[in-house]
Amino acid sequence: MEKHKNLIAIIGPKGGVGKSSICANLAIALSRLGKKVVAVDLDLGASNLHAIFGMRDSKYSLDDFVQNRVKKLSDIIVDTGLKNLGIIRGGDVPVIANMQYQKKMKLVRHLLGLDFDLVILDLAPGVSHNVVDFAIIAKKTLLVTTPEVPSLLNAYSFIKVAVFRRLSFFLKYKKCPEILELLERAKDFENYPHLKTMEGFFREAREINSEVTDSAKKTLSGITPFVVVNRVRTGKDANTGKVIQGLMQNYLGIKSSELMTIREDIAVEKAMARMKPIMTEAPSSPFCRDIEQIALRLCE
Amino acid sequence: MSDLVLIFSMDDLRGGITQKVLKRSGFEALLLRMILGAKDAIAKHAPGVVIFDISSYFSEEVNQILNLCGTLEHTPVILLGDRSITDRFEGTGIRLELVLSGPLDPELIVAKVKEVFSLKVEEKPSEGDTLEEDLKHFLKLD
Ligand SMILES: Nc1ncnc2c1ncn2[C@@H]1O[C@H](COP(=O)(O)OP(=O)(O)OP(=O)(O)O)[C@@H](O)[C@H]1O
Ligand SMILES: [Mg+2]
Repeated sequence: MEKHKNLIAIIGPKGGVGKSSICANLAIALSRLGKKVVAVDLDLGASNLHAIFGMRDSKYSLDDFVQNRVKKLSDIIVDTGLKNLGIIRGGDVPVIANMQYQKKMKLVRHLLGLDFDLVILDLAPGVSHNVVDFAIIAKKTLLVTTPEVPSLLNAYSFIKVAVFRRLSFFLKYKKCPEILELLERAKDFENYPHLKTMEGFFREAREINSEVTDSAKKTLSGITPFVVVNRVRTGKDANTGKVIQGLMQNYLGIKSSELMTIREDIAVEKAMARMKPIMTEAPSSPFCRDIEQIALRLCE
Repeated sequence: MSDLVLIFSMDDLRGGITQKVLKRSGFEALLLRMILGAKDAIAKHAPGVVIFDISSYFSEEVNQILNLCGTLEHTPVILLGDRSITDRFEGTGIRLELVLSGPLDPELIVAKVKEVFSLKVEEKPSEGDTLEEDLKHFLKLD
């Protein structure tokens, strides 16, 4: 699985942490920085990205593509009325959670073929494999959480699933059943405490096959989520992101270099109620300023 | 961005009070008078917040402040002044952290400055320790 340069995945395994709000407004911020952007609602079955843009109806949605009513994904891009920015509406059929492999690959192929500088994916909550896979192939993954414990726990667990999935793909590809078995045991670390950390796992795996282990370790260096703590009210709230980064580093061997925060902002709800993106309604609000910082960082 | 607050005011009393109250609350605060050269001063000090007491300036200087604000995309700005003057900033796309009209209210200014600074992630997680213990517990990592 190679990384794809123009894909940005917005994930947040806990529902309602702000993925769609961030996706829509980040897309606007990036388009204002001169990038040609398309925001794609992949939260099929519970899609609402278009509503954040204030769109009620549109001719096409992903259903048309998934059900082969249109040939090309680019045919269903809807104009937002904003310069440099299009969106692909999510469908109403909850297919992505268990989309067939063929269909999924076709969707990925078309997403990668879109002629845009940046393709921003608004993904569903939860840790379904399809969501995890998008997080793995995207060039940049924004892991969105709030400062609350359940959301932080979900964020950690999501990355853990991604780590195990990435490793298991790699080990299958390298045909290394023994290390795969060890990986299975690592999932059950309560019974195998020495496998509690990825470091412990790699130590033991090296004894089986050091070469494969070293390259397996390298594949993990591609997982570098940007941690985004949303709905921050205090410095203490902002710090929760550091704690998650520490746990990911110490137990999963994942280095997340970026920590960004977005302030709690009443203007988000207000804009939502008016069916207008906050980026156009209240561009100087704290939420928008923080989103712009993220956009700038993503352009670096 | 530093933890410094840069205050621009021609009114020594208003500016002085604002500076004093900010300092008393533990902030570094610098009071400057001239708008000419403000751009360089801001570039030099890279303040975390800039306060313009626009009621103390002449119309031409307010125009200069307006232009200057247009270039301060990433520095939070607080404006002090009557509505009739601050209104000129509306609809210009300039982002203001706070606009205070009426009598000077240093406490409100301090509260806003605190809010801006408190959102910066602290270098060392202090109260994070207990959170880390809680998370480890739930993840069975302890
Ligand atoms: N920084 C913020 N300040 C205040 N409210 C916010 C903020 N971010 C998001 N919200 C509010 O939180 C709610 C959920 O946001 P959103 O729909 O973007 O989350 P989501 O992660 O996409 O949810 P889902 O998992 O259901 O797809 C919305 O009502 C939104 O207005
Ligand atoms: Mg959503």
